[in-house]
Amino acid sequence: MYARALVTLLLALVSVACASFRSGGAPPTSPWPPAPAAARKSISMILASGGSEVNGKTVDTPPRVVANWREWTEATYRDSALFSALVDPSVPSDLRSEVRVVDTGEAKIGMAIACGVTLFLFPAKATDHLTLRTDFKNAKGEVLATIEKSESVNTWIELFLVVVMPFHWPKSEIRDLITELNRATLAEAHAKGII
Amino acid sequence: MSVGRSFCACVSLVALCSGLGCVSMPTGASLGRAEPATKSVPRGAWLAPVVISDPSARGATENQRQLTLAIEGYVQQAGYFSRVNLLPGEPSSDEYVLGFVFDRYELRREIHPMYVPLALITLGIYIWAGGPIYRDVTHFSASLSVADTSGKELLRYADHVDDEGNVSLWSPRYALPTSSAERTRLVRSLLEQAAYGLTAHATQ
Repeated sequence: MYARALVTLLLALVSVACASFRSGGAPPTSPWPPAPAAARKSISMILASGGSEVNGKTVDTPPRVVANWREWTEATYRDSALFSALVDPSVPSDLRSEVRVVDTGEAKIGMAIACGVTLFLFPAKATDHLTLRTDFKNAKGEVLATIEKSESVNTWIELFLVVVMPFHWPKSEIRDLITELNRATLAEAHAKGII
Repeated sequence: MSVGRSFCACVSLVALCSGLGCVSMPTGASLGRAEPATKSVPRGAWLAPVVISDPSARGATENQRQLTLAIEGYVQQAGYFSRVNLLPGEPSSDEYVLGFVFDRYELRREIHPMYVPLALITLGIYIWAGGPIYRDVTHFSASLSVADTSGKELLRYADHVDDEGNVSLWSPRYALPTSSAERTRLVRSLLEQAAYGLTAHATQ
């Protein structure tokens, strides 16, 4: 009974003993939110994966992951208070933003095998380089501006990262990264007078 | 996110259940890099929201949105039309409206028939030696309709891509199943047919 509980606990710990760290990149967007324009416009936003690669090989980005990216992007657009409304892409709007997220990943396979064989004592590492490319268009479909922002995040897997993990949970780090890239994009578009 | 978290999953799988587990992920919506179009139409096009009508497709609603933007990007990069945009919008009278409908949208992972017996007989050496563990089966079927801005359908094409491949412990697809190549092949095939068809239609 106790042995089974111990094994379950150990498996639970090692299966989640990973932590992510952003590579730094640009400083946080300030001020946030920016001062809104006198006449705000409505916008629709559509987001998709612009392609994912792991060690140069194309892979599918799971739809659930892209759905997370979209939810965080929508939250940033709402939080910005730069628009009169954020509407569904099927509804006409003054502006449309088309967001493509390119994820270029690099995984150290040798480290991964060593990590697995040593039951997570030896660390393994993977890097996501995320690029957010946003096309702002008007109702006629004319491109007003294309803005590209990118940053990397390193994910480490190691048994003792269990103590660090709550402060650097991979999903939270990626959420912060996507949010920051969107803030920087909106701030630049706002400075250019597009929104 | 995908690489980092999938990497966690991959390492866990290799360490804990490489011989026992079964990896299954929903079919994605991304497309591969666009190759230049062999025929270009010197007019603009508007893409209607893509429809996935396959009732067995997982995450169809999310995939429809993603595929719409992915196809728009593909058409733009390949250069099939002078410009491409998403509906709703304000198309001019000489532009086309493209409508994609996917009636089959499936990536299925099966246990390879030789996996269990050979893994047992060889005490697991079969797995580590790179013997097939899974078989990934993809079925995509779609139609592309081309209409003018009044809604009159000018052309319609249908095509399908069925493929299958073995997956070993060392395959890139082991922890990250993908059907991007098959999807891209189908979209490209339909666009190529449409571009040639529209060129012939314009000369009539």
